[in-house]
Amino acid sequence: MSDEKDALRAQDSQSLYDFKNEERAEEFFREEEGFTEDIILRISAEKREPDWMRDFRLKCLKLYEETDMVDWGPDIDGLDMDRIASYVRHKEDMKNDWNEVPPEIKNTFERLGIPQAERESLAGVGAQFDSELVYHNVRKEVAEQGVIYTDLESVIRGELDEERKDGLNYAGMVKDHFMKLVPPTDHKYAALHGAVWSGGSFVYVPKGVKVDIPLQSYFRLNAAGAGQFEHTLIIVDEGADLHFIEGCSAPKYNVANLHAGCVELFVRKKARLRYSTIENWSKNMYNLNTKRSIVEEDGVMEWVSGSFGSHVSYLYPMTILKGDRSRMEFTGITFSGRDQNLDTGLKIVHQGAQTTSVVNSKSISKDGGIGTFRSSLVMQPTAKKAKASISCDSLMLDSISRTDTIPAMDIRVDDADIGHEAKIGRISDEAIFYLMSRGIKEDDAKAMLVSGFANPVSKELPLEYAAEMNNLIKIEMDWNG
Amino acid sequence: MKNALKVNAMPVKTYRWLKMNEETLSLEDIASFSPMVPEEKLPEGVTVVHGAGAEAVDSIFAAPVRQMKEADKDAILPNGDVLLAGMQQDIPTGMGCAVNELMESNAVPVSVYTVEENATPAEPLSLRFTPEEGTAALSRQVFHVKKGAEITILMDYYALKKTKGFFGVQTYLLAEEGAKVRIVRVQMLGEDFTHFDDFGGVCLTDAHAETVRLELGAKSAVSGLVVNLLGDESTYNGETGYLCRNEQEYDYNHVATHRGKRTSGNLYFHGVLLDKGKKMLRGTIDFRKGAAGADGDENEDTLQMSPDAVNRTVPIILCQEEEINGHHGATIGQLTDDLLFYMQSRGISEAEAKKIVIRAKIMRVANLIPEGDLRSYVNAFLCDTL
Repeated sequence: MSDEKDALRAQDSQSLYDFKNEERAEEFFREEEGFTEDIILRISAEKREPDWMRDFRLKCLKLYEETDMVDWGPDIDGLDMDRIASYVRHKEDMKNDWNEVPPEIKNTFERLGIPQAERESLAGVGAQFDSELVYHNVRKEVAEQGVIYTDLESVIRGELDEERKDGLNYAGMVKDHFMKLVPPTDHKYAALHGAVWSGGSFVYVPKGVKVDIPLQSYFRLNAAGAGQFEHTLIIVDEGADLHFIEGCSAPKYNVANLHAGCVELFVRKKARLRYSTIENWSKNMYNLNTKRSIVEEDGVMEWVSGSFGSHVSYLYPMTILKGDRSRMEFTGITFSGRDQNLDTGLKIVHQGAQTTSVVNSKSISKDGGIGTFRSSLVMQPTAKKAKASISCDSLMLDSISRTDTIPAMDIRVDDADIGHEAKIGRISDEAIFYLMSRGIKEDDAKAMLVSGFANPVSKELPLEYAAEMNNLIKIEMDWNG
Repeated sequence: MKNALKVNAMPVKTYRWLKMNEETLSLEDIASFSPMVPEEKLPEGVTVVHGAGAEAVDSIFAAPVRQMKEADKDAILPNGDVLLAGMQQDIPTGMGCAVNELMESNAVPVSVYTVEENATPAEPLSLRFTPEEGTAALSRQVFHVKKGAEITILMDYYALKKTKGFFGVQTYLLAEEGAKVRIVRVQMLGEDFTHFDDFGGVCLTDAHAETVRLELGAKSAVSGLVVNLLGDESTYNGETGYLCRNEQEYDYNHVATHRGKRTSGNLYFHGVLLDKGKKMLRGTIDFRKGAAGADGDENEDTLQMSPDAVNRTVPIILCQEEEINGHHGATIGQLTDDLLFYMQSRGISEAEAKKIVIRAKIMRVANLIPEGDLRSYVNAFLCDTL
C-alpha cells in the first residue's frame, strides 16, 4: 500500500490528467467569446445544419437570455459568460482511423489511455477534443449488428441515411428525440446548451441486439476559457442491451471553463442501458451538465457515477420510469476536495405501475470541500405498487469541509413502498486503530477505509475503470500527504 | 395588512419545481387580529407576567443570542440562498421573520412564564386556548425555565368541530443549565380553522427539552419549530403525530440545530394520511461547527391510506463538523396485505382493521401525553373522528 502511494506521489498526482497541449492558432479555429446570435449562426453554418436546427438554436439563445439562474445551488459568480468561447475546434475533420488523427491530439488521448482501452475492452470509441469529435470508431462485428455509434452532426445532415440506406430514418429519429427529454425550458444552461451544442454522439442499438462490451465516449476540454457543450443521444430499442461509458477531463487553467453538456437516453421496452461516468474535470471547471433518461415497460436503466473533478458541479441524472415494471438503479460517489463545491444527486419520477428504483449514493468531503447530495423522488398517482429504496452515506474527513443531504420526496400514491436512509459520519476510530494495530500507517489506514467506503461504486465498473476510480480516490486522499 | 405570509422556509433551498422551499399562509378575509391570553393553571414555582413587550423576550435571550451570532461568524454556508436558523432572526423560530412581523404589527403582548431555579412542580403548567368561532386570534408566550428546574407544560388548542376561524401562536423556550422541560401541545381546532404554531427554543448546558405535538384539527395548519442545542450535552427530543384527513393541509418545518458538544437531537414523526389530506414535512438536523460528539436522528413513519392524499417530505441533514453521527430514516407505506389478512382471520373487518391501525399510529404520540384531562380529550376526539 505504501509503495503504491509513494509511486503515486512520485508521478505528481495531478499529471495523470493535468497536462496541456498548446493550441496553435494556425491549427485551431476559436470562436469569439460570449454568446450572441451571430456566433450561433456561424456555428450552425459551420456545421451545415438544416434550417430547423438553426432556428432551434436561435430560440434557445432567447430562452437562455430570458431565464434566471436557480437560487438553490452553488455560487457560480466566478463564471464570466462574456469570457467563455463557445466553440473551439481543430481544423482537421473527424477521423475513423486513429493514425489519421492530428499528432498533438493523438498524444493527448494516448496519455489518457483511450486507444489502449479501445483495443482491449471497448466495442467502440468516440473522442471529443474541445468542441468537436476528432475520432469515432466502432468494431466491425458490432457495426454489423446494426449498432450505430457516430457523431450527431452527420446524422442530422442526413449523411448516415445516405450511407446506410437501411430504411431507418436516422435524421428523423434525431429530430424527433433531440432535446425532447431535456427541453431548453428546463433551466438556463439547458437553454444555452440548445443554442451552442457541438459534438457528442448518437447511439442506436436495434431491437434485440445485445452489445456485449461497452462503448465509450471521452471528452477532453483542452482550450483555456472555453465551453464544451456536447450532446449525447442514445436510443436502446426493444429488448436491446448496452453499456455506455463516459469519461471526461481537462487540464487546469487560471480562468474558468464551462461544461454544459446534455445526455438524453431512451430505453425502450425490455431494453437495458447502463450509463457509467468517471468525471475528472480540472478544478477550474464549472460543470453544469444535464442527464436524463426515460424508460419504457420492463426496461432497465442503470447509472454508475463517479464525480471527482470540477470547481463547481450541478449534476442530477434524472430517470423517468414511464413504463409499467420499469426499473432504475443508481450507484454513485462524489469526492469533494479543496476548492470544490460539488452539488450532485439525482431525480426519479415513477409514472408506471410496479416501477422500482434503488439508489446507493456515497459522498466524501475533505480539505474544505463542499459536498451536497440533492435528490427528488416523485411518485405520481399512476405509479401503483411502486417501490423505492434510497440510501445515502456521507463521510466527513475533517471539520473544515461541509456535507449536506437534501432529499425530497413527493408521494401521490397510496400503495407504494418507500424506504429512505441517510447517514453522515466520520471514519471510525476503532477501524483505524484496528488497522494500525496490524502495522498499517494511519494515513494508509484512512485511505483503505475510504476505498472500502467507495467499494459499492467501484465494483459496478469494468475493471479498468474501477482501477481508475480507485486511483482518483488515492490521489484525492494523497493531496495533503 | 399583508394578504399572505411566506413562512416555513427550508434552511436550504432545493429544486423550485417541487414547490417545497416554503409555504404561503393566507391572511385573506381577516379584518383584524385580537390578542388571546389562554386559560391557565399555574403550579407552584411558576410565575407569569402578562402584557410584556418584545424587549422582554430580547432581554431573556440576550446572552444565548450573542453566543449564537459569534459562533455563526465563521460558518461555511450551504449552497444557495440559505435561510439557516439564526441568520434572519435573533431567536430562530421555524416559521421565520414573517410571524415576528405579524405579531409586532398587531402589538400582540407577550406572556412570560418563569419556572424558578430548581423548581420541580408536581403538576404541569397548563394553558388552554379556545379561540371563538369567526375570530382571528394571536397569542405569544415565553417559557423561561431556570437552572435545574423540571416542568411539564400542556398547551391545548381547542374549538368546536364545525367552526371556522384563525388562530396563531408563537412560543419561545429558554431552558437554562440542567433544566428539564417537556412541552405537550395538542391541536384540536374546528374543521374550518386556519392555524399556525411557531416555536423557537434554546437549550443551555445539560438542558433537556422534549416536545410532544399532536395535529388533529383545523383545515390548514402550519407548524414551524427550531431548537438550538447551544450548551454542551444538551438534548432535544421531538415527537410529532398527525392525522391528516378530509381536505386538511398540514405543513411542517422542524429544525434541530446542534451547536454544543455531545448534544443529542431527535425529530420523530408518525402520521396518517387519509382522504384528500396533504402533508408537507421539512425536517432538518443541522450540525454546526463545534458540535463535536453530537448525535442527531430523524425518523418519519407515514401510513398513506388514500390514493388522493399527498405526502411530501424533505429530510435534510446539514453538517459542518467531522465528529458527529447523523441519521435519517423514512418509511412510507400502507397497511400490508399480511396484517390485513391476519386481522380479518381474527374476525375483524377491513374497515375496523384500518381504524385500529390508524388509532395505534396516533396513540404512539398520544400516549406520551400525561394522564389527565388532555389525554381524555384526545381519546374522545379520536373516537369521534374515526
